[in-house]
Amino acid sequence: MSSVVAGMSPSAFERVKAGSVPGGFLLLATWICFEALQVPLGSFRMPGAGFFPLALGLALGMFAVMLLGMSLLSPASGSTDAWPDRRDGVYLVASVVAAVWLFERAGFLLTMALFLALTTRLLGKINWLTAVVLALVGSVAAYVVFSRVLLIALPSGILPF
Amino acid sequence: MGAIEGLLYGFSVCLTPTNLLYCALGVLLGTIVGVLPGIGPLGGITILLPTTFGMEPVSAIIMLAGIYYGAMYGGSTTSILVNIPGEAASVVTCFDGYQMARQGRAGPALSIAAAGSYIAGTLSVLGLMLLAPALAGFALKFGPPEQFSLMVLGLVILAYMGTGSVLKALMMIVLGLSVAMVGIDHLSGFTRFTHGRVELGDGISFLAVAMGLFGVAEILVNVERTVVPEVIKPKLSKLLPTREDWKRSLGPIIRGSGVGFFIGILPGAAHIISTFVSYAMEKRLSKHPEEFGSGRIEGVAGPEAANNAATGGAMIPFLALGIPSAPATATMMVALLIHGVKPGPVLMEQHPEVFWGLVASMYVGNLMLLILNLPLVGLFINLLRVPQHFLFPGILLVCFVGVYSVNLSGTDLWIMAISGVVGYLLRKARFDPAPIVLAMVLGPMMEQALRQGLMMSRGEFGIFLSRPISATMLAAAVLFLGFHLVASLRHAQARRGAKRAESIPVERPASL
Repeated sequence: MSSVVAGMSPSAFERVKAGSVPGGFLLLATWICFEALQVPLGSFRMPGAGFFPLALGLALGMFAVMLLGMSLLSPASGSTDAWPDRRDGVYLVASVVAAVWLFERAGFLLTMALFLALTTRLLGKINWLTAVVLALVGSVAAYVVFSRVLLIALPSGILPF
Repeated sequence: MGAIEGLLYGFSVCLTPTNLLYCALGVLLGTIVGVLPGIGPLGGITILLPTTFGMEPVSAIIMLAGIYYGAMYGGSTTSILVNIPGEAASVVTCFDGYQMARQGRAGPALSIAAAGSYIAGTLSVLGLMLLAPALAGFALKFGPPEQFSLMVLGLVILAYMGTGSVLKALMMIVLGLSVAMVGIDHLSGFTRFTHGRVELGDGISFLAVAMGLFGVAEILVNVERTVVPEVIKPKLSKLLPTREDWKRSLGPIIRGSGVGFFIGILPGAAHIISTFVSYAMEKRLSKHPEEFGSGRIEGVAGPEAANNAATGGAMIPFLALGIPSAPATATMMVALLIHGVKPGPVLMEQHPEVFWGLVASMYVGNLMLLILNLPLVGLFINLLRVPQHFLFPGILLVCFVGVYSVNLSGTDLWIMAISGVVGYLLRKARFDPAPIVLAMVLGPMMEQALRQGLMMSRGEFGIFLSRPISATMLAAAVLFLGFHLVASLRHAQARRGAKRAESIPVERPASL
């Protein structure tokens, strides 16, 4: 990825990058304060439901401003770790999200078979046939252990079990 | 119940076949968790927590504690044989342990690490047994103001003693406390941060957040690292240390036990810090400090003893005060709360089987680890050869089942996935997410103590300063923050001075 956005000097880009994390926290703090004000604050004598959350929102905002100041003064100190040029992480997140969406709809057995096939193939660069066979064995074994032996209730989804 | 009487009762609880089995299972799983890089004790406890739901409370805590101190044992094995710490507290063991292994002395290094861990673990249990009842008696005097101030002090120390930036740790604490605010406020009945979603009424599931932060996120971070470990195979015939090794290790083990135990009581990254303190202490006391880092057995014995002793220390605030000082003990506390057992000053009276059963199981578990660890070292090392593409999907599958099984809720799975991505992003931005977990557990207690304290004093904040115990704890918290501020300012000043010195052009003498 290019380190400099078009039309922006390297130092300005570094500052924007360094300020993005505390900026995000500042937004979060504002949201916490806003939400805290939606319920009664009460008084010091009788603090209400919003009292402590408001205090937390203000504290987070104050810390975020401090971090923002530090990051802008020395961008290197507030910088983030390198983002490796590997897409495996993104694909893995997508697989997890898809599995969460499918879990109750398609059921444990089907979702986990798909999830295991996809992730073992993705991370191990093994051929599809091996991945599918391993996924089927793995998901059935997990189903037997969790559902039949440990008696954990798992969603059946579109399958009868 | 006196300490000896209590311990005997504890052995009668722990030595039943069921509890012995769970103890053995716990230490075995803990060792595996410790051996596998990327999954620390916290991740291990979190992922395996749902498997304890069907157990008796005492069996559950015995198994989870076994995972906790078992992981400390397991971490040293990979440090010595592969130069990869299984968990953060074993980093220091790499310095001299791996060098010993390269010199063909992996056996003595492993044996001393195991023996040191056993001695330290046993001594720390002794300390736990003697200190916890006394502290619990003292804690009975605590009202809401003292409880609030104690939690403030604990969280400030957690940030101060952490491994990274204090400011970032404080932000993580506030974030964790905020997450704990989601759901129904039990004092007023109002719902907060739920946006009308009924499933969030009981709050955000602790387990879903913890599994996301330490299961899913750890895997995402580890997917980026493709490490092919070079394993040094120890010869079992050369496993035993010489008399000289024992002579050189005994002092560091005893000192490491003391250091680990007392640092373990404090909140924060006690396991990690205690190993560095012990290593520095041994280096300073040694007649040959220059040889540290090139295979001195003292550099293995002291830190290994320290990180195991810290587990016993960390149990004290959690069991005696009901206020966990570390994320791992916070997770154990959640396990007990799920079983309807509330840790705290009255735990020993209301549930003596849990307290004394746990203490006795730690004696037994440490012995099991000593017996298991050395003969099975080859087996544990082979775990490092399990390919990531089988290991990671398997762990994720367990996370799915674990999170879903608690409330049979798809929402919890979404929370886990979101927490996983958030945990990954936080690590990328160099935030340690561990304080979030501890703060989530303390959040509701802290809010209740603050509000009750203010109600008691009719709105006067002075109540927190007028009561001696509370005032002392708040003063200590301010002192910690003050120390940090002064140190940071000095550091910044020194850095500015160094920069200025670099920018001044060096004038050459005219004669040159």
